[in-house]
Amino acid sequence: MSNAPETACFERSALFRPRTFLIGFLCGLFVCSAVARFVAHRGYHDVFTRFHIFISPDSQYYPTLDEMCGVVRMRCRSDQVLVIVGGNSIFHGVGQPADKLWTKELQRQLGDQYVVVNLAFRGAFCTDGAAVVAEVLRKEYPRQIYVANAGPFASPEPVGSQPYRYLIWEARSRGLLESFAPRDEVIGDFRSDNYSWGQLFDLWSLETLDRALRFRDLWNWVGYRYFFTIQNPYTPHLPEAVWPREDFPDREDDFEDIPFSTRFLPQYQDAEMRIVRGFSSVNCFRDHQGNWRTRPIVLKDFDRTAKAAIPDDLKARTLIMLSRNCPLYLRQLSADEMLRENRVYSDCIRSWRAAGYESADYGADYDDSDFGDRTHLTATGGRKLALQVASEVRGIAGRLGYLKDGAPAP
Amino acid sequence: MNILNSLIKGLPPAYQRMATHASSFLMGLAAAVLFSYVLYRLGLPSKPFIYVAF
Repeated sequence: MSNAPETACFERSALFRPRTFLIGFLCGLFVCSAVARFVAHRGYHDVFTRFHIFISPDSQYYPTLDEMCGVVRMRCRSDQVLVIVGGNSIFHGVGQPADKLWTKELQRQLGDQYVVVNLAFRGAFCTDGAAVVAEVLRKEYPRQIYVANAGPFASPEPVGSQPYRYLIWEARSRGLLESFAPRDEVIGDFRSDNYSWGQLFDLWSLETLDRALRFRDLWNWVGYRYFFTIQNPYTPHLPEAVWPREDFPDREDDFEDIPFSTRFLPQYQDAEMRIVRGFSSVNCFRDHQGNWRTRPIVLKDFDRTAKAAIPDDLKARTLIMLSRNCPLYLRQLSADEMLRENRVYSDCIRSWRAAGYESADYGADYDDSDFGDRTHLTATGGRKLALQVASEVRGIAGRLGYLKDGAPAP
Repeated sequence: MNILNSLIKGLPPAYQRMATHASSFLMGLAAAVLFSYVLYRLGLPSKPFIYVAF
């Protein structure tokens, strides 16, 4: 009874009809979803080099799966071989400005028969976003090669890594990934070990709602094209905080602007050398003859995750490049430590190949000036990497018959 | 709101009905857009990802 005056007032309102409101609400959801699907599928990144800091999780912009596929669709013709680049900050091109980016050189080396799309993210695994996009596009672009980098025996987790794991959940929720029992088993174990039922319910409900309503696609598009609504460390103040993300160019710093004498500072030497030694020391032991060997448990664990990381039919078109450290640090290793270092890299390449992938290492014969720090490459290092990767990519394309039918002759 | 209410009530009955439905429909559309935005914000982590080179 106490609600009677309010209800009467509500009914008397000349502005509001609940049924019409509900119809408007449902129409609004439908239109939002339809617009988001259309723009994301078609692609809206007219200018794209990579997901730089203003359009990546660093600045609270989380590219969606359809958005990333749209980036590929805007660039790859049906008569081209698609080369998707994934991996971490090294392949992303940290320290290489857009005009000196190593994937641009790779595109130049490969020519018009191929199209190279750099989808690598800072701190990502070789199984993160770019690998998901490559798998999702497997039928749309059957002639494709996926290239990513990794450290020696860095576990290629089938569940990827944070903050990029949402792309794996998104793809799984929409049924876009292949059904692959070894991977499904690892992911199932991961979910039950790391998520409470409440978190799983949150994840499920958000993914289910997004699958229907596409709110991430819609608001990413609005944020990229019209106005951005999330404060972040790179644009903390108004008005630039709300500027559309497309107004921010790829402004990666250039390692080559830093004098060589200040790139490798003495105060970081000890810490860097501990990391360099750690690449091989944690994975190796000395056998009875005094030779370095990779620990059997490391080989076994790696073999299990590598086999589960990517479906079997996609492994042969996957190239994993193992990243070497800067020779400035490697020269400080003793001859014995260098034997151990080489052992772990050669065993890791062998393990990747045994699991069905293509693999090689890079950086062993590079100069100090090819590196901007212990691990990231300068533009000159990027050019050397591009030359080697181009040769590997051509070899894979030839072996898989990508250039025989329906494509220009090599 | 009250001004709008009285404006609509001042219209002939046929126009009044049309205007009422139109305003309800538009409010529904606006609520849908707001709902979509709230879901988008709920799906984002509260803290940005801070990349540290390793």
